[in-house]
Amino acid sequence: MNKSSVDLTACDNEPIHLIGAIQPHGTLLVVNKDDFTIEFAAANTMEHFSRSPDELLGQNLAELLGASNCEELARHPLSPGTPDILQPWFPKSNECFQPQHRLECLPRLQGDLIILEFMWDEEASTTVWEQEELRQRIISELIRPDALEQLAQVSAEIIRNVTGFDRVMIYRFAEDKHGEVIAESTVRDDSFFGLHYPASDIPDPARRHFVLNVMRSIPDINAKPVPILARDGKGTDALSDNPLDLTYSKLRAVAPVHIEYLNNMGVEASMSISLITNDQLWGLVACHHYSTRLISSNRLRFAELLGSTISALLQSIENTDQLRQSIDAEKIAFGIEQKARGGTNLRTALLEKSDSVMQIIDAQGLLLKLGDKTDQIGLVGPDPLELGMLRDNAADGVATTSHLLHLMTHDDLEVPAAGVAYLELSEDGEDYLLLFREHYVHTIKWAGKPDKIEQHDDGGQVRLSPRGSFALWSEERKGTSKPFSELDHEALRIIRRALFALNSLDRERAALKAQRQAEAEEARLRHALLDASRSHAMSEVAKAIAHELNQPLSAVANYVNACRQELRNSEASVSEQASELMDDAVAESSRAGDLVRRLRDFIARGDLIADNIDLNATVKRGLDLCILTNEDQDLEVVLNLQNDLRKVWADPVQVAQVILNLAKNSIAAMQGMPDKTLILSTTARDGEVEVSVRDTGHGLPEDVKETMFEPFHSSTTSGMGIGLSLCRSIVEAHEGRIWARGLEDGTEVIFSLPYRETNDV
Amino acid sequence: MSNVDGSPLTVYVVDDDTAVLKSLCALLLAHGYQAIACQSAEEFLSVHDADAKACMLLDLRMPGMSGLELQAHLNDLGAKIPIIVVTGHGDVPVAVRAMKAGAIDFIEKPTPEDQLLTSLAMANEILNGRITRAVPAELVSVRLGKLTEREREVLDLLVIGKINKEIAEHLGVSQRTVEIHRARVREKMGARGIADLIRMLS
Repeated sequence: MNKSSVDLTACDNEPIHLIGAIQPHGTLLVVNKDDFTIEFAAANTMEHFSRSPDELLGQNLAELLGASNCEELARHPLSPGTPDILQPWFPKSNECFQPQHRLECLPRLQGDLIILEFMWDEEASTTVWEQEELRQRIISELIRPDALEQLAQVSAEIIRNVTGFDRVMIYRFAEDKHGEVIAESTVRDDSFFGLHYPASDIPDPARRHFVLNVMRSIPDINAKPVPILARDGKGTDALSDNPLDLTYSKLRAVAPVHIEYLNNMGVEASMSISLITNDQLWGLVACHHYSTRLISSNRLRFAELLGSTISALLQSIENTDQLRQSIDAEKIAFGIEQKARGGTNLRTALLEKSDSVMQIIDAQGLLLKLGDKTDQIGLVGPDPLELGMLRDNAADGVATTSHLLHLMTHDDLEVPAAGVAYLELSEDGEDYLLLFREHYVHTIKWAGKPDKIEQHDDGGQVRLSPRGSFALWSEERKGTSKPFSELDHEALRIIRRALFALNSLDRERAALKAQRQAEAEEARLRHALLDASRSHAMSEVAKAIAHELNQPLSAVANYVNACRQELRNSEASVSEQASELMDDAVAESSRAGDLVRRLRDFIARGDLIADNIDLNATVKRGLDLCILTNEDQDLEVVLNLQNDLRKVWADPVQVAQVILNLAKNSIAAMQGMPDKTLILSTTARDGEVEVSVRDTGHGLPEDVKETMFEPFHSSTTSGMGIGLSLCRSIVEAHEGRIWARGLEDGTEVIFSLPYRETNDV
Repeated sequence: MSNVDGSPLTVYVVDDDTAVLKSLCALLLAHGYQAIACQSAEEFLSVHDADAKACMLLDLRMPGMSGLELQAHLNDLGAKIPIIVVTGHGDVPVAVRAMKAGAIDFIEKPTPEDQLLTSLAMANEILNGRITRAVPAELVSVRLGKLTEREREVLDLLVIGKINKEIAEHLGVSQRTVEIHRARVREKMGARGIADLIRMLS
């Protein structure tokens, strides 16, 4: 096997519960739960029962312990009660069973089998429970601490007191599973306090066992393991025909890798109690002795109970801590909420509280993005930051990483922030809050270099071996921030919830405001259009009057001039006075023309306020205005607007006016018709754009067609007939043309506007 | 007025307003022209003799084919008939377009007799090949050189069809001032009216 391919975590896969052996400080029998036939026996039964496994296997348990004990066993609870501890059973001596010492048995049902583990009961069973001083200590000291480390320290001392181990340590496992000694009580000179142990020191199967089996005692590391035999006389390990599951066994033999590990540390006896909070392995109480040490089973149980107590207390302290941080988070969220509800916008409210927000999760920088605006405070991360991964991993809108480098497009260790918390503040992910944590340059003091060393055994097979040295080995870590804990996440979720709600509110308000503005703008345009409509109509009337009056005035002047000329031609004698009168007539008609001109100039306002406009939008606006005042429910409007129209240089208000007038005429022409369809279309032609307004009305008589664009020739019954003339004026002012076509089923009025390079209107 | 051969000059009068049409014809006849009345552009096209030496008094505002459309149509046909545009008030921008399209002059209604006769005389000269339509470019630029800056501004606004009131608003001066500037411009440019100015600058 290639050396480099050896996985140092390979022992994670070792089936340590199928080791097929026990430690020799007790013995083990396994019986069928129905008839108590002995199915398995440890090879050392002779030492405890003076009967060899051969003699026991296949026999009934009653033959060994006597019928009365078996009856008692049948009544005994065979599963752990509450707390999670097996109730010991003490088989009594009788006519066929007369052990030298009192025996303590831990019976446990496992499938169809009952596993019976026997140990010598060396001490009066109640002694340890009755030590008044110990009880006092437990009650007075253990319950008092409100900090984790303090509780751990007290616990270590009490446990060492009860068990007499040389060293009792409390480990806490970090999220990456590596352990740290957070408390220690020892009689030795050296200290492991503050040291870190790599996660690989406790492989995953061992971790599982720590959760399932809270107590583990190894009185003599190097004691020779005793194999467990099946009825066929063969072994029961993982490779055998009858592997026996020793998951819940107290006596289970020690895995070779663990023996080596403890030997490397110089430890000869050990005990461990698992600390479990919220069903997770929180830590361990690890007891080491530098010579062999057998702890009586009732002390073990006491220690086990103590372990459960400590676990419960730990959980309570953790919960309290979490509650405290959560309450702080709620307070901050509430503070921001109050500000925001008081009319301050979210941005200002949040930035005012930025210090507390950063403080609660120990962040040193903040980046707030709301809409188009971004605010930064303190230490911030690299720019740009790839947020995709955080967004994808967000739970309840919150995601964190202590390794910002992963999110960067380029490696840059100079970036001041190393960790980031992402809080999503809008559904679309456009708005968010980032909280940055600085680099966590910290030195980890490892108990030995945290690598396992592989070794080759005689068979040439690769086997793993733990490290031989536990000499202090320091490692400096960089590039990451302090990790975000579950507590941090909870606080972030609380704050994010409040901010998200406030932001939604802000966004709704903004949307409402925008809508109101749009409506106001629409109303303003409508008014402008109506205004223009009125003043245009007036100006058009003025123009029309001027034109209509001017024609006869013009004719009068011509006639008088013609008359005078004819008189001259005929050489008739014309009195001077008559000649002057004719001059006066011409002069007066000219003056009348001038007056009319002045009147027209006074009223008329022919200026175009032109721009490059989207003609389709203008057509729609004119139509909207027309529909607005239309009460005919049957009217169907069809828009055939060409999509890719180039912008055209025109006055949008005036062109909308044309549409409005044409559409009004069309609707009027369709009164009383069964089918009322108004069709508006725009079409780009060569050098110009055509707008057509078409109806399904009465159609267009030829005589009307000639004069319809002249003023005072109303084809509709209402109005002065200014509308179409006005349309023509506007279109012509744009250098466009307007014309009409009679159709079989209605009328179409078309006007064209030229595309122009410049704005010389 | 008459042609070189002594026959009277034919003047087509195209106007939809009957009174104007008839009175103009009467005036032209009195002055010795042969007037042919056309009530519409279409009618003109049907009666007009392309070979005859003739000019035209053209109203721009007419139902059916408008004056400008008729002019464009004639240009397309290559017809060389001199066109004198007769317009109502406020149609100056349209008249300017007609001038740019080749009309030799325009007259606002009511039509001053002397101006009408002068324009017709010019048409006659053009038809007889005695003058060209254009004032020589060098002469125009000499005349333009005499204008003050303000006068040049007024001129530029005049030739795009702005009326006095608009020019006054645009330049921020009184209408009276504009009138004075206008008079000076006409004088310096040697123009009888705006039509001349437009012709010189187009």
